[in-house]
Amino acid sequence: MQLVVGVSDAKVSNGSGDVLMTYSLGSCIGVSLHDAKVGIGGLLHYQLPTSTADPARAAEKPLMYADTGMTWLIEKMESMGASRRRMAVRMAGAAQMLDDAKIFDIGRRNHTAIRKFLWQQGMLIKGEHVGGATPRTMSLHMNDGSVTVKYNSQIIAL
Amino acid sequence: MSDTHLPMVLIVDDSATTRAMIKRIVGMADPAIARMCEAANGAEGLKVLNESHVDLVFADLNMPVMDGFEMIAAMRADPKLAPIPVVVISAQPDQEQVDRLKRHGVAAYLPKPFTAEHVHRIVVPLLEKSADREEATNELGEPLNLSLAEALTQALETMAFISPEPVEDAAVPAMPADSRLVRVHFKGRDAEGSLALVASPGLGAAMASNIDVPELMAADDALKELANITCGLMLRMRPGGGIGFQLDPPQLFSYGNASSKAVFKTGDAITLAADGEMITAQVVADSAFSGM
Repeated sequence: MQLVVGVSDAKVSNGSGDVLMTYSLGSCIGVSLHDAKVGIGGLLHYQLPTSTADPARAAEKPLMYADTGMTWLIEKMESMGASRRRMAVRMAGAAQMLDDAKIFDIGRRNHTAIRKFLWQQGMLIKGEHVGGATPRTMSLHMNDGSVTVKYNSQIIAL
Repeated sequence: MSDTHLPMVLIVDDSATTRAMIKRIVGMADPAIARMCEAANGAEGLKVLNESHVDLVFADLNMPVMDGFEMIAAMRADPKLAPIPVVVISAQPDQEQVDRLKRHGVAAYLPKPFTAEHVHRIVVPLLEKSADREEATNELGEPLNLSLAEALTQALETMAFISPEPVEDAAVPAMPADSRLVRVHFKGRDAEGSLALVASPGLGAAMASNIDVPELMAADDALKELANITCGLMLRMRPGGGIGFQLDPPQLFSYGNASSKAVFKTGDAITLAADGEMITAQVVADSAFSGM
């Protein structure tokens, strides 16, 4: 089954036939986590680097931010039997979109925020496709845990 | 496989923060790929090498008592230690330094600031080779030739991992009153801007929440460690000064000098070098820090 992850959204799966997909990753970042041992995966599409900027909004929409979104996804997957030590982390997005005001450089800050979060958790990045100025589509294939990114009409395996 | 069968990695660096970072990074692998031990300078490193079996060495170059080049030369002269692969932790080396490292038979260098992924890309194949008892091949690449803007960006991003305060806007007003703020204007071939370093006794605790460093650290020491792992090692000083920020007069903050103290005062001239280019900068703010 194809599970579509919206903006500021996340989905988890333990079905080997599932494909988790997210579209229109601009300055946003898509993060896929996959624990191959138990066959549990998840995909997050977050918009902003840190929940400390607006704690009230973060409490309402935790999946909007890198830190609260990742915490939610990891805890959800662990409640299903996955282990964060085993999760393969892959990510895509963080483009510098033309309509973004460059001074904020949200894409770059989004990338730094997730790297910091992973550093604090002691999790390594297994693969990533970030930067540039074109939106991406990202898919996590639950049958083998592989991740593909569509970028400029090319399919890239992470 | 029990832990005692894992290869042993020795980290030789006088910066406790750098040692803690590498230990943490190598330890992130699951299942574990190595055991680790540490030394604070070349002489201590040689002592460990002579007393225990080591499979891979990380070595800083600028260290007190005995520097990295001296230690590596001593290893190469000892048939028992000569085959052990050495990874040099270094600022962006220039071509001359890369050539010198090659002559010393260094297996690879790890440019600062580094990422966890970069360390794993270097370490995993070397550990696999050491398990096969093969001689390490020379994997030194060419200098990265980062532009000034790229170098500063990388430095600031690395700083973001170690301490949340200096770069996260929201956290800045929470800095304790006895913090030290240094803002440096820089101007190079391709960039112009300012760089702020903030440190306080509380920074030790903030760093300790991410990596294993002493929580009680004086602001000056915290600033030195920050400069060391980030900008300090991106920005090379003039010959004789080692690596770090160089103030004029130079004895004020000199990496590797035991008596060094970071005393930045408004009006101090600072010389930075990035990508082989010298930049003169001036400290334009130095204050007891109480938010921006």
